[in-house]
Amino acid sequence: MTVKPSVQPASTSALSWLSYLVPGLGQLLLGHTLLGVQFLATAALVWLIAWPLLQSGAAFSIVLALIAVVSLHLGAGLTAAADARRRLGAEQAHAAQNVYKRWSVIVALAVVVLIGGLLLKWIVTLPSWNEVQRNFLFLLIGRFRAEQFADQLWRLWGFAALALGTVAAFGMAQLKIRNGWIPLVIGAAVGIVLLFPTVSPQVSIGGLALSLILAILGILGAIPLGLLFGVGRTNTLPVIRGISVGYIELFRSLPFITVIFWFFIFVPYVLGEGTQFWAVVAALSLFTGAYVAEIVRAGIQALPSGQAEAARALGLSGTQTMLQVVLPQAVRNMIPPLVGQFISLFKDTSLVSIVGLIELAGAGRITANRLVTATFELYLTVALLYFVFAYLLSLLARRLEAPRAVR
Amino acid sequence: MTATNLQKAASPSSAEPIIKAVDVHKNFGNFHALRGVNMSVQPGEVVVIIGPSGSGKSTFIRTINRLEEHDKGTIVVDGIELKDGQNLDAIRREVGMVFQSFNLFPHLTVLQNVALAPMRVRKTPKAQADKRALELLERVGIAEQAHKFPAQLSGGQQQRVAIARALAMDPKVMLFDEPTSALDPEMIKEVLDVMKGLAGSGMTMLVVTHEMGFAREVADRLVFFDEGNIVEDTTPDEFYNNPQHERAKAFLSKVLGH
Ligand SMILES: Nc1ncnc2c1ncn2[C@@H]1O[C@H](COP(=O)(O)OP(=O)(O)OP(=O)(O)O)[C@@H](O)[C@H]1O
Ligand SMILES: [Mg+2]
Repeated sequence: MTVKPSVQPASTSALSWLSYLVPGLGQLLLGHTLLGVQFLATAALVWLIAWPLLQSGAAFSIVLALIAVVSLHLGAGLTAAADARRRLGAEQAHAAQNVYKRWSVIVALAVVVLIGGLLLKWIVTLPSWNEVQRNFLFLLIGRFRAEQFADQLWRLWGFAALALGTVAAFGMAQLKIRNGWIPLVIGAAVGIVLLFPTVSPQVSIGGLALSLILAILGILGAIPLGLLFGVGRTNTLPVIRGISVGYIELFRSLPFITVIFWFFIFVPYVLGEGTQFWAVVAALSLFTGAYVAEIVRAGIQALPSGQAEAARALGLSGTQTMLQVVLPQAVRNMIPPLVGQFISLFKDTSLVSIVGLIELAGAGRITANRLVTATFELYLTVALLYFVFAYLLSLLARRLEAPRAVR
Repeated sequence: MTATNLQKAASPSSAEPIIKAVDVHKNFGNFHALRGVNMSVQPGEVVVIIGPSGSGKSTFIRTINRLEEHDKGTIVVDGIELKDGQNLDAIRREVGMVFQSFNLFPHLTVLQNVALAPMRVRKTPKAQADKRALELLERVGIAEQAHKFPAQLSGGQQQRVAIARALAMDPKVMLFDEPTSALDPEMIKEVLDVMKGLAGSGMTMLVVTHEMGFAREVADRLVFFDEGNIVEDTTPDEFYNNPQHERAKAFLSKVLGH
């Protein structure tokens, strides 16, 4: 290794660190622990060697990097194959080895490493990250400033309650303890009660915090609506079924933006000023509720009809049959599509900025407009924040499902 | 003939019938599934219903607890006429049903399956409902499985739980719709034995089954369905040895291969 540290600017060392992180983590995610670790080391070496050359613009450095990646990758593949042979037997080991010998795989990986590295380099060396840093708090909580509400600071414990509930549910799922939804619901309830007054228009909490608050309130509204109308749609009484179908089809046929606009204008008109926030929550709940209702209906109809028949034959009433027999089973089928729906609700909150609520997307846009220079960096940050929370939600859901699937 | 059978043959047939169906019709769209069925069943009688597939056997016994509504005719169960606006739950409390596919509730334990209806419908306190459920599970021979889930039981065990579940409501009539036809041969006997015990205890039973051995041992009457109607109503032995109807003869030779 002939790299002199003094040649590298500060950003470069950060970059090379990131560039071997990506493919290495990729391998780790694929479950190839050994390969992942080796790949991290490989990429580190490649970038340590190639980086100074690349900086000086030497074209052959790319070739050098490619060769290094290919050879080290092959080495890693062989090691992985040996590992597989030890654990799984010759046949699988052979298959594993062949995958790493395949040129398409090698070339694809090399290209990913190089392009990924260059892209990362470009992103990291964008000029205005310091602007993002300066406005990051605005992206997270909007104009909300604690010092203006020093007497209300304890309310921020609501976030802690939310986080604790989530972590507890996650942990319980990991440990295969049932009823993980209990801490989740308690955490959400406590969090919302505590944070509730901070969302009034005067306090104007915004940014990511507002997005999360809107999403959680929207979900809490959408679940009872969805249950009510989803069950209603399976009712034998034509009136109840008609009302349910009307609600579901109406909201599924309207673009979300029109629903927001309509509620934003209509609700304060009827209930007075200062209700805009709740108008938006109602719009989110009613809109998502229609989709939840369809998920509920599908979950109910996926059950064999013998279940409801057996319950009715025992003398259980229609309501008892639904609550004791049908719904407990249907809920299990409903979890995966529900999570998808809630992720999409979380992303839909980005549309409420058109009526002046400065949630995450709105905060990003305002900042970008004000600064002019840091547009790309800001939107990238906003996208990352959305991604992290949406992905966490889907991870959590997968963990919550797992222990139930056992029995 | 067994002792229980002799006892029952001696029971008076002059009492009020517990089930009385007169000219019962049922349509599914254009399909005329029941075409004027008449049947009356005395308390304590065991009636076996047989007939070719699609002849309306299931449809008929399902009209008796109103899982199916009949379009024409009258059905009276234990003095309650089945019609619109009736308190259905009152009738269903009198009539237990066992299905071909068991239909146990998979999210509840065996004990919870049996105790559910008494707790919810009769408002029996939990401790009492559980105790009774255990007694019933004892009676069908699976008390030691009480805390398992249905999916952990064999088909025969599941069907015995289903019988216990129906009995938990203390019904006056039990309906069985091909209770053994989803079971492996070695499990059929354990279910039939439970049903025989039940018949011996004087339960009124309507059983759709093709188990001729069971019919001849336990049933007081055998009813042959064809194309939505009863074409023969006789004793099992009479039917077995001397079927009157052409269709019945053809059916017997198909089912029994003789
Ligand atoms: N819900 C329904 N909708 C439409 N047709 C039906 C329905 N239920 C039953 N049928 C029809 O009514 C006829 C009688 O059905 P049923 O189930 O009573 O016959 P079955 O005698 O019990 O036959 P199997 O021995 O096959 O159980 C069949 O032709 C069936 O297709
Ligand atoms: Mg049938």
